[in-house]
Amino acid sequence: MMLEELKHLFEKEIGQGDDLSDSRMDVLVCEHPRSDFNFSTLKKNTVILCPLAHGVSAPIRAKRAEYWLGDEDGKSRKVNEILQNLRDWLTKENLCEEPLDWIRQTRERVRQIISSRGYAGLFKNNQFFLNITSSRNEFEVDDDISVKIDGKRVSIAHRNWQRNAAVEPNGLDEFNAASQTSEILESLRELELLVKNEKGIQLLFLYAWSSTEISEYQPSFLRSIIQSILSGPQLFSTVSSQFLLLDELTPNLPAVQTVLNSTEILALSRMIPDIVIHLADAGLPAKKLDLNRITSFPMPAYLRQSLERIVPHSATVDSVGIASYAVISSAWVGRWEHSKEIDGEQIII
Amino acid sequence: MRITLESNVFHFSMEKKNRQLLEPSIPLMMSSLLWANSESEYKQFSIALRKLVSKDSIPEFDCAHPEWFDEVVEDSPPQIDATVCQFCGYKDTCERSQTNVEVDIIPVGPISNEGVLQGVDPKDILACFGSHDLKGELQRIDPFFGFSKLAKTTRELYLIPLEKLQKRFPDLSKNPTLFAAIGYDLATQQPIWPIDIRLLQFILIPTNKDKIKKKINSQVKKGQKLQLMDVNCLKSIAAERNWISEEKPLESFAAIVRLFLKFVTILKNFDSIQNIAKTPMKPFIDHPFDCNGTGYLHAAIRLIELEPDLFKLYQNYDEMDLNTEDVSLLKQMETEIWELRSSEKIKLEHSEHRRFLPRFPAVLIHPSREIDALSLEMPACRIVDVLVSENSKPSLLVDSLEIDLLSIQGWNDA
Repeated sequence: MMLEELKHLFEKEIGQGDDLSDSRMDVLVCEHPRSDFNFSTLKKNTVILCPLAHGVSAPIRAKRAEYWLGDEDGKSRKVNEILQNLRDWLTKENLCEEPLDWIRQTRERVRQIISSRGYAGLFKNNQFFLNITSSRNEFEVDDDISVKIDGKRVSIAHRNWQRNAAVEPNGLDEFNAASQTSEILESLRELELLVKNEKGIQLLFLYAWSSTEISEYQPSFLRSIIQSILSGPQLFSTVSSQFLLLDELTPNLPAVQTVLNSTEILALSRMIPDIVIHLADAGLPAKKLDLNRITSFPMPAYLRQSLERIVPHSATVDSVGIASYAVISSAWVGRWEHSKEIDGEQIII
Repeated sequence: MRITLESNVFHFSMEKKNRQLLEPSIPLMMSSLLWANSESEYKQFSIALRKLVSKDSIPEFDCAHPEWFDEVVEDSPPQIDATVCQFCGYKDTCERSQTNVEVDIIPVGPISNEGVLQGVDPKDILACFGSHDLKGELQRIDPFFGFSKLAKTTRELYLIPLEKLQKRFPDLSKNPTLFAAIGYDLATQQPIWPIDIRLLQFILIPTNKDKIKKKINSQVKKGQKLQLMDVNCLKSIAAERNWISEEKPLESFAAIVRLFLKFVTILKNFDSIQNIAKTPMKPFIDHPFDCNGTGYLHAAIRLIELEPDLFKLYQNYDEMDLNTEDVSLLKQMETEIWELRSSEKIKLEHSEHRRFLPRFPAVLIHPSREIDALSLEMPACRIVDVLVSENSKPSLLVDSLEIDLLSIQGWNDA
């Protein structure tokens, strides 16, 4: 319920009206523990709202998402499509006696290139798959892509460009298909796009918790929190994971530890020291606010010093009379973007 | 216990048993494949074998390459089952050639009648590999995908009682947080950090260590001081590490400052240490401390913690820059750095050939009771997922990253 309400607020903030396809972002709710996603079906940036307790599984989720967004599977399918198109072309144009044998040998070579140089290696000039040659005179450059069939080079695409052009063509830009090779060229371009990861989807896993109904909080306060999450620097990572904890500051509330369950408390240990507190004081003076409640949140002791960044919420028009605060923090998921030294996993084997 | 995972490419559950093939001519056809004289002959035998194996097959997924068998694809490719794939003549060439991923679960500890770790419900082990998609359908996943380069391959995983692992791999440095630690030092029983790697690369070269030992036995030039930034940082670290004597805190800290002045001065003479010291470092990420001093101070502290015999050597040095009282003032630090490590060292039958371990990714199986008192970052392992279950005793499913955990000594003491 709380997550659905938050989802509604996120959708409102990112401008998802009647025409959902126009919005730049999707919002999903994942209520069940150990849920997985078919990340390859995601089409745009997505905020995935999860209960706080799911934070214990934050690393496994983030890693799976990262690998899916790398779209390893999509690239391998695209390679198959290219080979299939090549085979159709060979058969149609009657270019070799045994197209299936040619495809089989080429598939093996392609495999070797991918395993040694990655998918990007397929677009480098090589005698085993694509021969990419370039000839130039004083004014023009001629680029040609060909494949070797029965010892002969057969062109599949060609381009010609002026040497004084303001912008030189990049990758497979401006190549024109040779006879009957437009499908091959098209699938090569699609693979190139996958390699460049121009899909560029970003995911945010938001592990959320609230001590009370979302409707109890000051609407403009919630809005500013959502805005800060959506514009935060963490969103520039491909996959980011954050905590959002919402709570009231009314005196005589039961201690936070007693409201959170044990798995939720364990999840909080994934917090890392870049915590920001947003405070809506409901117009009350500081001495009337139970600010100790913020520091009593069950989190590792070393994080306490990070609780000093407090962003006050100043709007009073829609004040609700009850002070509240939000804790926003990144979750540690085993990535190393903060380290100057480490790049990758399995440092010592 | 052996678990068969659905591979990444086959879109069906590998738990289903293979179909029994009753056709008597299949073995003959298989051997004909082996002895085929040409590509076209091989193809003919493959087509014939496929026809035989496909009899009674249950349509489960699309064949990736019907064209290899000259099958005409009009609307959609023919549907086949896993057995057809398994007996395919082009199995090795097809991108769907991944075999079943089989994971053997090796218990480290007493074994139950079911062959798993005592006190652990086999269903919970299986659940570590289960996940539901958003439609609620069960999928089999490799929980270590992205954390282990062996993920999605046939391998052994270890199931270890939580307490046993905690005892075998303690953190004698008592670091406040371990999330960014990158490995574990079996010799000094503590996690290691990015800065440590470069230090170890330096100090594990015997000539470098000898040079440092030599310099410990020579006097520091008079008038040298630690920078104020280092003194403040050292104060915080010494308090956190419990190095300061309670009886004489000021004098004890002064002795610690003298100790590190000496080590910082020594380390400044080495080019490779200069490179480490000049690298910007982030607290809790590149080193285990919450404050930043000069890189030399961090290098000196970690050097002493990783090679405590250098600390011992300093204590035994009796030249003028070591005050007569220093040895007693450093007693508290000695307890933390030297005695603790000596006394709590796991008893080994022979010297371990391996000193360092990576931090293993692990899935925690734990009842909900007292789970909040745990840390998800342990000295020698990083918990990437948690399965809350009331049916099992706390235990960890560990991917040992190609290391034979049973060959590491000390499990009996743990």
